[in-house]
Amino acid sequence: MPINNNLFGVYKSVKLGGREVVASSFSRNRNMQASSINYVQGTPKARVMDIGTVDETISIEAPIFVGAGSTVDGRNIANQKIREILNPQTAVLPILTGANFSIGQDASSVSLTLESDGDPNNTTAFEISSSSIEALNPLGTPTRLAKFYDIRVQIGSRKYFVMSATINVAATTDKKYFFIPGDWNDYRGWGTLGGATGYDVATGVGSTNLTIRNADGSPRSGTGITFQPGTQFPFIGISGLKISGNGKAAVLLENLTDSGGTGTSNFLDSNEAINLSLQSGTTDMTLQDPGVVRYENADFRVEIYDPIWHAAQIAGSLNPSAGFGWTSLLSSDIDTSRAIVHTSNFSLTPGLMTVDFNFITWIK
Amino acid sequence: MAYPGILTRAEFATGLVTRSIKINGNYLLVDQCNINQTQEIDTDNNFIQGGPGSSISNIQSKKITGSLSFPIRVNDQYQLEPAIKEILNHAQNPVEVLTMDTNHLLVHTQLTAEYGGTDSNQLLKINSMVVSSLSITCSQNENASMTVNFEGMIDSEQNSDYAVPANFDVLGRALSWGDCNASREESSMRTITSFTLSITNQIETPVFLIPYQTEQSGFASTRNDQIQLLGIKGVKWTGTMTELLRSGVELNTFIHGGWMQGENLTFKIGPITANYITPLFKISQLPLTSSVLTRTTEWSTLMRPNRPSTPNGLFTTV
Repeated sequence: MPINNNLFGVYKSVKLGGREVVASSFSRNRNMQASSINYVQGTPKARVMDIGTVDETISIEAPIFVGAGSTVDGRNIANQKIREILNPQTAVLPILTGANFSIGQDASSVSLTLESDGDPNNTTAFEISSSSIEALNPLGTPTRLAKFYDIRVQIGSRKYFVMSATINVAATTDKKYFFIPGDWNDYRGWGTLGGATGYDVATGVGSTNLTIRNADGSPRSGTGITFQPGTQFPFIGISGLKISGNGKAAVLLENLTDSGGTGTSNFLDSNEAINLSLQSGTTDMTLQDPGVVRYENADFRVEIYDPIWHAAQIAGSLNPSAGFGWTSLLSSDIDTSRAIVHTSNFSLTPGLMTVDFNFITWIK
Repeated sequence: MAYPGILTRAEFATGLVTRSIKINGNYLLVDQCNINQTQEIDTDNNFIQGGPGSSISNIQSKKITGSLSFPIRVNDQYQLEPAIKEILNHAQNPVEVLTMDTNHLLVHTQLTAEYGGTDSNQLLKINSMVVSSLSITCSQNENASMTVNFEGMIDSEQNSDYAVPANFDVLGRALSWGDCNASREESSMRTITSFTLSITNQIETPVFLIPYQTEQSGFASTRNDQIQLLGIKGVKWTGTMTELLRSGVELNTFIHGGWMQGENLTFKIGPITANYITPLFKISQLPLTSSVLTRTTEWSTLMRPNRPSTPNGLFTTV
């Protein structure tokens, strides 16, 4: 067999909702609920089918880049989708249901799960092509994987010796289905009118799309007012957003000379422990008091260095024009500075002593 | 027509026209110094990107790593070279870092990912090095020599002092088999033909995410792609020796393994004395060949857990 590279994914590129994304893996899963039902029917054979709704989910594992590739990496698409959730008028399918930012010393990545309606006429939710990703052309600015020296952190009192962090952005979506409007006389179904055979095609003329109209007959303006009646595809709504995560940090325990002038072999004196609270009266977690809401006394911060220059550059040019600096790893549209730490698991081994901690943030 | 290229007018650098190195400020004549700044730099194209070309670089942390090998030398007063003392004492008591000055080792301390290529090279003092392993070897046909492996980093930028030697440090001789002696409680070990004494320090060189610092705190978050610290999480003192066998199978010197409390396995290499108080032996190995039979015995040593935290645990020098 001659050479045939068309079988390999590296030659392909993907757009989600019209945006290029470079990833190590994509999966698009479509599912139509279907089962057979038996009734009291005189035979055990499957004679009745229960055919339900359609689900479409998209999963992505994408790296976090520094350089020109930061415009097509996992962080970029995740934050775009988070912005859409916060501002639903701008949302296009697929909708974000979960983004897991995984920050490590050697590599950082984002795992995303998204949801679409499964409509075969929607060609922009998930597009695959043979176009090369131009942002990765090194003649502009080369791209590299984000490393420990690109990311700075402050998770409560923990900012030194932090080894990894994970931030989970979880969106709650709700899917609803409605009956066909009573005065709808056009073709009912998902396909092109009269363009297919093998299933029941109603006769008639008109569009497959319905535009909602006001009582006086004028078309409504706004988004989400056009849909296809008589299909198995859902209306998807966004009903919740929360941000939580966890991290791992090395623990430093050091004997210091205490105020009495003598060192002790325990680590109960002040400043003898970093990332762990052994001193009496100190805490690893954000403990609460009656009638007061306590949050960590340092702002929650996870920031990346210089991923935004490309967004501000001159259109059509690969040369950077914006400055350098630290920016939030998450979308700047949300403020997660207030956080509580609710888990602290100390692990003592002959190697590095570590503490795992979990946190959850308020979202402003 | 002249011969093309630099051969007609070049003076090539060699180890004979380049000065040696300094350890903790003490000049040391070495057979080989193979210590360099190292960093894993590669490409990563395992992505869905519209083509198979390597377009994404993968640049890890950088550190100093490598080895020194040198003869164990004494001056005319039978005093050990000071640099060797420094290395021995550090290896067995690794609580402070060593420094090294060279005339040849160029380093780059900025981020490789943002300042690639040839700019801003510097000749700096390697001011944070630890010994990851050390071995002293001597046999009846060779001089005593030492091989030391290091790991380290540039903790702060200090210019190298160009390693100018002092006369005292250079004049001397290498120790030989005739300067060595060995014994233990149960044997005077007169048939030993070679030995290797080793220290292995298990090094960890972790990196962490950058701590957040506000402008109000007065500190900037400094980005650096070096390893961030050197940690030693295990110390092992070991050795191996070979002995000639006399006819009669040496029934009472064959070591069948296990510890020997207070055995004081001792080696003297000129002014250096190594004392393994409680060696834990492996079973001696004795292959039968047509030549002189040679028995090989390996051991490690049992010690108090905090013994490496205090000086002179294994080696003492006159």
